[in-house]
Amino acid sequence: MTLQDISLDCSPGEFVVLVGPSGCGKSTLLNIAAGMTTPDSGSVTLDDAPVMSPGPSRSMVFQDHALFPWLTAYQNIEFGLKMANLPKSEREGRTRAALAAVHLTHSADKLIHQLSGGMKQRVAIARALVLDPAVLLMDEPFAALDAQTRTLLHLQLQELWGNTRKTILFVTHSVGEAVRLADRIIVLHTHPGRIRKEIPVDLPHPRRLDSPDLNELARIVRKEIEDEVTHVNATQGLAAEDLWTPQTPDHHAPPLSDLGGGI
Amino acid sequence: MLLLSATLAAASSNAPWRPPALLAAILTSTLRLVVGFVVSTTLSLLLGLMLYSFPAVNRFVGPLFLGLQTLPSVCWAPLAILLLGSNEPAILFVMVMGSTFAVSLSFRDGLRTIPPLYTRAGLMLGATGPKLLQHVLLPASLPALSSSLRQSFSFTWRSLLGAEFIFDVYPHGLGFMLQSARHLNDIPRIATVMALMVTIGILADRLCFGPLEHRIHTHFGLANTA
Repeated sequence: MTLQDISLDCSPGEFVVLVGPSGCGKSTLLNIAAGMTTPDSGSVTLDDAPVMSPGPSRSMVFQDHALFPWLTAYQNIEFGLKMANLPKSEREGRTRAALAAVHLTHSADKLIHQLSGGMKQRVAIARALVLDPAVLLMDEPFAALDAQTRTLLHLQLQELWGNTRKTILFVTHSVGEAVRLADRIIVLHTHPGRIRKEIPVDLPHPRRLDSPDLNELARIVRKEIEDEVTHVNATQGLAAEDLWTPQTPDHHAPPLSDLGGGI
Repeated sequence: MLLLSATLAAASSNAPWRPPALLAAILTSTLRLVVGFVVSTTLSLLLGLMLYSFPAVNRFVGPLFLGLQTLPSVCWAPLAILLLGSNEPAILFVMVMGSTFAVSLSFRDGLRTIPPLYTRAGLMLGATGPKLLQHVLLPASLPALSSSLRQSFSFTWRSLLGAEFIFDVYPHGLGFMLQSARHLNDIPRIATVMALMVTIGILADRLCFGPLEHRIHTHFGLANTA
């Protein structure tokens, strides 16, 4: 059993970030919300209607972008609209707008393998947003990107969120990412996955990376996760020599007085 | 090799060399190849898709196919003679039997390499049922399809030549030419016919299947054309 007794309620337009150590069921929770995984018990509702299967009202951005390599960037974004049988003129307008929203108009006709990692994720975000979903689900979308690209995409995502006011459920293991983006941070517990702590974030957007408030918040979240990992190690019955906690290095070791062995 | 055998053939004092007969044989074999390739490939792809889509069918006939594909194609010839006689349908039978089992298994395995993530993304974007098949699974299977086509061609070609070698069906194809050259004790002629068989195989691969595979791989970003 991965998850147990989890109750999570997102209000419209809220940006909720799930953090927690690996294997705590963050992604499972997201898959349940998407309707890809059916929970053994419990239910998911979207505006009081039950969620039974995956669908365009809860579009997902995957860690490995999951774009279709046989289509261009434009065709990838258009795909969902095509599946909804929308007329061509409407499809074109919406796809162009989505491309513009992620600043990729110039790369519309490129194939997926011709795009950089960051551009691929932007196409994936555009593909999800073009369907005008009620909820945007993001499963570690920036985990595979380099730090600079990730920072840039954080800014773009905040801009997009500011403009569209979508409800976003975002999974990450990066504390920095969580404190930067979230309205509310949920720290998950492992074995079984439960909500360990909910931390509301009342800082205004867009946030400065170097603000003291943000650092203090990151410290609190990090502490929660560290405690959680220590707790897991303790309960998993690891042998004493396998339990490791950070040590302060000892810079005052005695001089090597017996160097040379007394010759 | 072709040049060498042509020189040998010119030097041969045995039965006179009749290029028109050889040309007719090439045409005949090519025509049979096209028909056999279309029939057996269609069948293989359908069977492969079925093995992939229905695990129960796969469990039941998968091992059978695996066993049957180990049979060299000429081993189907005796059965073909008794069932159909020594005629055109018998040649087609040998071609289909000699390639379908192996190719349908390879197409099934190719389909299995499609990342499940594509299916999840397709479902999320509203592609369900036949739409998922048409817009996600089939395009995603193109790399697998191109290598299956290539394989299907080489299996059909080999089976055809073997069948022509055994069946005396008029008009005569390249396989029969090889057999008759043997009866004439004409080694240069044997070498020429063999060289022709190789050449046709290489040409089909270079002009048809190679470029197709390259195009698909480039499109998918699989080719190492840095």
